[in-house]
Amino acid sequence: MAFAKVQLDMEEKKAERQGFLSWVKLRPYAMIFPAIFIFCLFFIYPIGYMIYLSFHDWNFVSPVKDFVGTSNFSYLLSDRDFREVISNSFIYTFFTVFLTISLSLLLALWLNRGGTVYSFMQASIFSPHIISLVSVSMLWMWIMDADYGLLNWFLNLIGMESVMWLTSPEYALTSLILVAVWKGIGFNTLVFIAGLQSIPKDLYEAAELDHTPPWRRFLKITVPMLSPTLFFLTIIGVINSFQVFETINLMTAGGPINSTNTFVYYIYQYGFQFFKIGYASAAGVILLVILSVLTVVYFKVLSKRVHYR
Amino acid sequence: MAEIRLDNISKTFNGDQVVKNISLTIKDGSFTVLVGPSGCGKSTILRMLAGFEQQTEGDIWIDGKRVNDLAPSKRDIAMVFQNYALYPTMTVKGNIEFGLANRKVPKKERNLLIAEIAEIVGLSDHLDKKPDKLSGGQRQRVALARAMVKKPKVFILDEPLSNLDAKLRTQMRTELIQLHEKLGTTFVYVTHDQVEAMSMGDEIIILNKGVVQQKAAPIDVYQSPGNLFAAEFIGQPPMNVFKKEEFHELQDALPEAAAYIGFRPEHAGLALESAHVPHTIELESEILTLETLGAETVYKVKNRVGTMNIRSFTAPVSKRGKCFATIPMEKLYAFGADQTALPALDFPFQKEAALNGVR
Ligand SMILES: Nc1ncnc2c1ncn2[C@@H]1O[C@H](COP(=O)(O)OP(=O)(O)OP(=O)(O)O)[C@@H](O)[C@H]1O
Ligand SMILES: [Mg+2]
Repeated sequence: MAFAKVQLDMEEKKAERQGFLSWVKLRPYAMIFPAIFIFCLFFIYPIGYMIYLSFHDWNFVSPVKDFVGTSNFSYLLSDRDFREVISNSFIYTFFTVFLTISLSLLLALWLNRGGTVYSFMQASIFSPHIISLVSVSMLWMWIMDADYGLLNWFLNLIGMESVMWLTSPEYALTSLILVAVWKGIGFNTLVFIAGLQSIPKDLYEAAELDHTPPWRRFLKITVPMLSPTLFFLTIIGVINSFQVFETINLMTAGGPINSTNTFVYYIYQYGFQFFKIGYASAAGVILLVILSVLTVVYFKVLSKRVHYR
Repeated sequence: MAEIRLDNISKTFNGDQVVKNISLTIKDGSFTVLVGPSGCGKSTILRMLAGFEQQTEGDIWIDGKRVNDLAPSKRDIAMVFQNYALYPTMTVKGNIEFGLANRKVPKKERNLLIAEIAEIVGLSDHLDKKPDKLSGGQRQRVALARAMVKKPKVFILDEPLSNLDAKLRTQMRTELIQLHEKLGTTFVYVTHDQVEAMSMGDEIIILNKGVVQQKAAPIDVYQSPGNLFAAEFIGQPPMNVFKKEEFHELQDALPEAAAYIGFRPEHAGLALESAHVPHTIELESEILTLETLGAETVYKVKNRVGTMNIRSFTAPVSKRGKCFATIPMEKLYAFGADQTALPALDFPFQKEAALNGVR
């Protein structure tokens, strides 16, 4: 009797353990499910839908979506405007990222010391980062106004000709790059300062005992030690610049003569002004491919040279 | 090779004087150890020597030259940092080569020097590795190699062994001593570990709160500590020190100036029976704890004088409880009210013994 009871107890325990075990196995999936679900709903599904749309002709309202094969793509690639958009995007991205990073690095090297003056400078350089892009655009449209703008007033003051900052095809893209650099420099400088401060001081002391000249100290110690920061800021900068939209929409509307039209603005125009959804989607797919390739190339090629502690 | 002289050196950080008016001479070719508790200013002194920190007052002379206003790179000093400060993005070879390349030493000569140094410190097989792939001891050797390859006048080392495990530390200790013998360069070595200080230095400078307590050879520091701090800092376990009044049986024999009495743990003995040995203080005691360390045993005992450590090399007393601590009078140290050491105690029986030729 007593023996049977013990056996029964054991059986119960085992069943309990099995139930427990399967929960242990299930738990990770159960816990990750919400994240996966949200990811699929808001990332995978829209991307899939965009790819689907890029092979169709649709105007947003008609109930039918005509399958057109790859004609959206072939039309895009033969479009002169679109080729201009691509080259504008690359020019804008390259100069924005290059200028922002190099100026921020210089500023960070200069501002990376104690004292109220330097803290104040750090704060003022950072302030553009917290202003909304719309306000930034308005502010710079006023500064860059051809007739009443601050910039031209200043140029005239020092005896130079006025510049048609936003209204001439030669200068408009440069002006937008200028605004992007002004806006981005604060954040980049701050991240660089944080990166500089994480470099151990005694490395510089060791370098000093090693008779290191300043430029060599910068190239052989500061830059390699900052490489994770550089890498991070470059990727973020490239992705952001490729997707520039607000300033273009507000300041130039892609003009004059398509000279400041870039990827996202082009997609926006075709999607929401001309209602050619399939066509806009095809451009979106190309943007996605370019960004993916750039990112992969960065990770593959650059990360080999990046030093992570 | 160079003699180093500090002349009334003081250092103040934000109104806080951490090095107080230090004057000392570090002999040419010596292995001098700066030892003291954490925060006593050892690193600050080293950094002033190297030129990373400007002294608030005083002069520093290296090799007969006043270097107060000389940049660190001009002082011909090599430093091994506490955490090595290797360049993490360069290989071992790159680390050693960097200083040579900066001084435009031709490539051929560089390779020769590197090969030679790598051989000395035993890194020949690791020249192409980055520091993060090396063990602690290997990193330490890279730091040494990087310092050595410059053939400096003075080597300064800031607690270079503190990150290593006990076994490696002992091994590196020996290697450093041999290295010093081979190079014959002046070494200034900082540590807070008194065992390291005793075993490595041919001169020890004991520091406390920015003040030099004593400067002498290790054995002199041990046998005749300059003051209470030196007596209690050197020795494991430290010297037992009590107020003079606790030893009332000695009152007449002690000099007027004495305020403290001390003795080393290994000079006292422990017996189960009272033996009444002449010229020995015998205290009925109780064993509180005992640490068996193999060759020796350290007892902590309590008696009417207080608690004291006794170090014994005989087989451990197995039972706790009552016993007798014996302290030979001739092994006592006396310290004045200002904590400085008094001349060796002079008991009448010692004179008699000397006269009779017994010792
Ligand atoms: N740059 C500095 N600014 C302000 N105070 C400092 C600075 N460097 C050191 N100190 C102070 O000087 C005192 C001595 O410091 P130091 O680094 O010389 O001690 P240490 O003897 O090397 O100690 P440890 O054994 O812990 O390395 C400490 O109280 C420390 O707080
Ligand atoms: Mg220190």
